[in-house]
Amino acid sequence: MTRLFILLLSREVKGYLFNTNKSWFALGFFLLCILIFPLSLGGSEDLLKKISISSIWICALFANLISLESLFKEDYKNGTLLQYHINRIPFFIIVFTKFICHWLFTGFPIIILSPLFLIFLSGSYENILGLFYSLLIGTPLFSLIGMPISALTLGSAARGPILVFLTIPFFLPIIIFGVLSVNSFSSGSFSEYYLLCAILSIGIIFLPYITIKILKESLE
Amino acid sequence: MSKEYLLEVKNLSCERNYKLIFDNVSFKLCSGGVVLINGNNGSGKSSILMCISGILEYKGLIKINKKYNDKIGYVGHKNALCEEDTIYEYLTFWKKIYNYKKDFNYVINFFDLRKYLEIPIKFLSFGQKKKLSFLRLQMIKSQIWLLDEPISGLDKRTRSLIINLITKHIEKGGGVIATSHQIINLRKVKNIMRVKID
Repeated sequence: MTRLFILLLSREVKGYLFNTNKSWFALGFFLLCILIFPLSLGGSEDLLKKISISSIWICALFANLISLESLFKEDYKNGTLLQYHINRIPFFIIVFTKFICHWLFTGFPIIILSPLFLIFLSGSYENILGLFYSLLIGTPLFSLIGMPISALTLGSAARGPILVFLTIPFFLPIIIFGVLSVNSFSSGSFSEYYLLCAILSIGIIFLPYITIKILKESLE
Repeated sequence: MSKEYLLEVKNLSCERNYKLIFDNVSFKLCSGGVVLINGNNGSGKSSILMCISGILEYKGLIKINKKYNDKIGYVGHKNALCEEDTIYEYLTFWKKIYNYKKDFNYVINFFDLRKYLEIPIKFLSFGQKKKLSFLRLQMIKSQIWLLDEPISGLDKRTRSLIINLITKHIEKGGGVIATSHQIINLRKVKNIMRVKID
């Protein structure tokens, strides 16, 4: 089991490192998206400061969203998932390796870069740690919630738009509590963090399970 | 003396989107035998293979003899060929998945793919991709091979290579279930059963 996990994980990591569509595209999109805010607001530094946290969260959401499209697409299209199923490779290993890699290459770089972008958007230094923690809990949730929806839309012809319409409503609570948690962090209140942690703990158990069910159905 | 069966299919029927695809299909695959499933396009030939491999839900009985290895080797229209991978990367990955200990040099030479080892799969022709799928199949230590249209769209040379490979597998005591709307010329194989699907 461990051998299979390492094998599939290394294949995924290699795919993300050398396939530009998969990882660098999402990060590039995040950087471009962030750049739009100061440019569109002109010289209004106060306004930029007020929306700095929300804009980082919004950009993180969209960067995650566009990278979701490629999550299972190739493996489904070329029959790799089918061969995994026939050869009885446990789907929880496949789903967890996909989740880990998706977060590692889309969520994690955003978390690392977020303090830098908060300063770039004239945000307050006090919020750096709060934003870091909230993204640390929020970005894995984006990947987890996106997985079953990405699997659900696998056979669809208009996959891109459907994926966006279905995913955004589920991302909304995460973004609401994520932004609120940063704002309340400086005042010493952590209730939103606890809520996000609770959603993450439930999600990490149930969402991969739902994804596995949908993936198996999609093979039929 | 009759040979032992590898797989038994009894009264198999399958529905997809509330539509009956095929009904009451029965056959036995023996060690060293071939079951050839013939039928027109859309008659459900591939669906039978999908039922046996556990992808599709079905009614009826599919019984694999537990005396033998119950692994199934499947070559269909989609063969897990990742376009960006080179042939070497593809084979190494599946070798590790199947825990195949032997060297795959012999099979590479058998299919004349040695000079393309470092070439990405996206640059290969249809026939070369098919050969590669059969190379992967060789690594699965399975008695039962399910082959969906194994020789369609191939030139004469590749066709005879694949037929040779199938014959060798059968000679070793394996069994093959193949679908085709073409004639598969398995002269050396004596135990062939033909199943017609309407």
